[in-house]
Amino acid sequence: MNVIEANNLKFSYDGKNDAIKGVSFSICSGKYYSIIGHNGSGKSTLAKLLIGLLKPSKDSLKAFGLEYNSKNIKEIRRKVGIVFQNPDNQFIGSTVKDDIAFGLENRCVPQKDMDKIIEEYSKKVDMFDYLDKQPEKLSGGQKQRVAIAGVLAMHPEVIIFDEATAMLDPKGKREISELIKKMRIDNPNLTLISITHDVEEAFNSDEIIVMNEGEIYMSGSPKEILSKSDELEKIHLGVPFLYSLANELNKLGIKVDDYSSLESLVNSICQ
Amino acid sequence: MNNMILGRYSPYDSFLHRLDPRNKIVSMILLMVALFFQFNLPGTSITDFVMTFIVEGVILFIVIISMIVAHVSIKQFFKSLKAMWFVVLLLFIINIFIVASPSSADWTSTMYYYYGESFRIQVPAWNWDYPIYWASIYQSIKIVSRLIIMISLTMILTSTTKPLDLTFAFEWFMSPLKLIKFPAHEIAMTLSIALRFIPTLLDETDRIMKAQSSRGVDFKHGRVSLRIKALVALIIPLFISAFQRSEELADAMEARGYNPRAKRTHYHKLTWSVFDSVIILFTLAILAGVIVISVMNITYYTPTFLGWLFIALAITITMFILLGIFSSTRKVAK
Ligand SMILES: Nc1ncnc2c1ncn2[C@@H]1O[C@H](COP(=O)(O)OP(=O)(O)OP(=O)(O)O)[C@@H](O)[C@H]1O
Ligand SMILES: [Mg+2]
Repeated sequence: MNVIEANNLKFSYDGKNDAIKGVSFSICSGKYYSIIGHNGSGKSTLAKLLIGLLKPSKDSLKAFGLEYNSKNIKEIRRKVGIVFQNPDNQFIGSTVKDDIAFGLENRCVPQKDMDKIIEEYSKKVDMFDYLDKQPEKLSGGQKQRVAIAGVLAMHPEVIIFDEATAMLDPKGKREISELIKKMRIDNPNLTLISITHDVEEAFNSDEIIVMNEGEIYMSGSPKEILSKSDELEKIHLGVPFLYSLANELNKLGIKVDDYSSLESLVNSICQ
Repeated sequence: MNNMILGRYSPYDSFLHRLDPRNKIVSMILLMVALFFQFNLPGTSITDFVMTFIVEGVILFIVIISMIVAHVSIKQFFKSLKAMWFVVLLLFIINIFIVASPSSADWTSTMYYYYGESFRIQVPAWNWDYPIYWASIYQSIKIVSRLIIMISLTMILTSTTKPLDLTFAFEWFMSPLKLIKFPAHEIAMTLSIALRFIPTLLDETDRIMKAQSSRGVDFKHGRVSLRIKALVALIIPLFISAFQRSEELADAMEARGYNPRAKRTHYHKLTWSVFDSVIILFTLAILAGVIVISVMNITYYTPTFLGWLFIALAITITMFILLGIFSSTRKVAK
């Protein structure tokens, strides 16, 4: 089932240059998408269109069969959540508790239910011990986990991550990836759209969408995309060593199929 | 750096910390109003001073006990009084001129005549001979002591109430004005976000200062004009980043369904307890007593007044003893 459908979607900030130049795609329920592309290729713009922060032109974008207009936007935002890049600038409450409660307040959740919900979701992201902490006492990764809890608490069907791990250290990144894996197991119907510069991270997804200059350059399964290293090089996207090595080997006629990690690559070479 | 602005809150869980912020604000205002009553009776103006100091004494007593209960840091308290020296001096100088001359005293009351001259300032070279009256000194002391008590009262409020709770109380007080489209909720939300971002922006300031210092900008030495120039190198990046933040913040809030005009529930409920009623009745009683004394010209040497004073002190002391029994004070992690 398609949750989001874009049909010749265009967007321009200044009325002259299009930041998004007529893209069409559909997002299926329960799948994990990655969007990659270099700086300024329009990834964030696309994300903001999907969550209704920017207004798409008429009939070009639909979520859950709903047009993006002022009447539906509340309903759409109920079903689509987003986690942004900067951990500080999306922390609205004065403590972890308050921040998770912020979304609940907006959804008019009765006050007496809030503590229970906050407990449940802070436990899910492993932040239960920090409920009374202020943001300046938390690490970037912890703040991002709070942001995820805040989004999860609203039971969205689609979650967009706009470079949510870009400002984190490797440990923070790993924790968020683990969390995303767990979220998918918890709720198989959850659709994830992860915007990232990290091709390795994108490898874990079901489908990769490559953006370039406001257009969808190509899309497909990670293996498909990563095997086209020449085309990726053309738009200045590097392919990690492991994949380029596997590609080269394949070109030379040495068949390797499993190259998701160094170990499996070595194993498949040795076969 | 953070502590300079927010450190006023003392992280204890005392009786006063647990009171409803609305109650604390109202009680503080009531006590401040009580401070400002005049007791001047024609012909017996010394009474005014004595009465003022008695009333101030009662309130000061409450203030001191509250400060002990609330664990207000004494160091902080004296620090905040430091700036007072300037005020004392200024008030004294102003009072010398407005209180001294009989013609200017006419519009206040006749009381100032009664104190007579204390000394004269004489500068023969300028042919200057100016009398200073006791009244101007009394008057200065009166105002300064009121100011000190007012500062203590606000200090008790800010060190026992989280800034965020103050904004909730503010929103509650302003909510009737929503009917005339006064943006009470928006202001409270703005205030609470400002409070949330103070530490973040201070961190940012620190970072920018370091970055600029490493580029050779000197914030600490040199001529004033150079230092002001250096400040520009701090303020402009700070503003740019603050604007960027505000944009991202607005996006994040909107994405999470925030709409200032829509109805929303509140996670923080202000709760009014029995203790709050007791405290507010108590401060109301003090104010009422002061009003009656002032209006009915009751003076300190009448038995009625002494009786009242005795009762007021007895009630105060009993109350604090009761509070001491009911309240367990413990330090809480910040
Ligand atoms: N608020 C804005 N006003 C005007 N132009 C903008 C605005 N935001 C982005 N743009 C422009 O739109 C284009 C796409 O920007 P976008 O932020 O979507 O890129 P991105 O793929 O998210 O890049 P990055 O990887 O750096 O996050 C860029 O050319 C950018 O200059
Ligand atoms: Mg971006």
